Amino acid sequence: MTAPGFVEGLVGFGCYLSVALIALRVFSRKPRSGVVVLTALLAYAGLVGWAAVQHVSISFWSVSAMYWCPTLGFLMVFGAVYKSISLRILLDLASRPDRAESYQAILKRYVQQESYLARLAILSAAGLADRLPEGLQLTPKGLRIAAICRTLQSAFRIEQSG
Amino acid sequence: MAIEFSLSAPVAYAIGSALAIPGYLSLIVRLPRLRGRNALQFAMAVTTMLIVWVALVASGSSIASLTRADLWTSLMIMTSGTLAYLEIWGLMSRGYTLGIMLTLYAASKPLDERALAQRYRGGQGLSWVMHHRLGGLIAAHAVRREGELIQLTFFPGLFIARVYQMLILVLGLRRTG
Repeated sequence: MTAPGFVEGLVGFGCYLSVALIALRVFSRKPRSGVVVLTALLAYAGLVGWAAVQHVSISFWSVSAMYWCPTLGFLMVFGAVYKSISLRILLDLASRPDRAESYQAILKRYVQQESYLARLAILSAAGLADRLPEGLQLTPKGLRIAAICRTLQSAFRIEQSG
Repeated sequence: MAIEFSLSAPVAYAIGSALAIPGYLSLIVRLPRLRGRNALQFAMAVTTMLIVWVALVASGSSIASLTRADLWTSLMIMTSGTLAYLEIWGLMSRGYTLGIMLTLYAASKPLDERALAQRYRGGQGLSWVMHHRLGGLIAAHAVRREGELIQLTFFPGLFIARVYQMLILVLGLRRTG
């Protein structure tokens, strides 16, 4: 008899979540997105490997669906918490007196400075752009990735990103 | 081997219709009325995926043998597909870092920080990001604009900010945004 595998998939997700929360603290100097994605893939490989040696037959599709559905939901939330500009604006406002600030102050301090400079640093750290005396320039790796993204945007008629 | 790889028809249809999301999208983005409306385009692609799955299940003999496990597995597969493609779609249409990278790509020469900020999004500049994100926050009633002042609302604004703050702690993130 084939067990649906829902419980096993959910347990697998629980294990992933626990390991990811530990990994985020242990590998705090590594790119965080890479840590959570790699952990998800390793946890999935572990789950499938574990299911393969069980005495009861487990449906691959059910266990995979039950694992990936909440895992992708978690990755979505993680991405929003890690990189969302909108959420960061809300948090900044929450820490201000009367929970209010001028439009220009938010624009200058956060959008044009902190967030912008952090992203330029990411491009350099990831080897996608070089800092030259005359400014920032894409590396060959950066050019390749930008070309792929531009092609995808053209294929799906996405005019700009941002 | 204790893993069963066999597929029921509804689950196979769910995998097929979820994998075809880029196909639906490539047709939907060509509709003139939806031009530039990336979120709506994606929502329509997901709706198409669901319609295709229901039509396939209903048209064959599989509807009679549709078990509860098949139904849930199919729905979770389609949700997983939606979330995976949404990550990519969101990055392609809203990625701030990608936007900076593509500005450098279009310039084909080194740009200093000021020039890069000015040329962002085809010359719209970094203030576009603020304008766009703030528009979304106002529409969601998370903030309200009173002249030059941006005011966080008590609900849902402050509530979302507190949940966000808690998630940063739980995830052990020091730097966000």
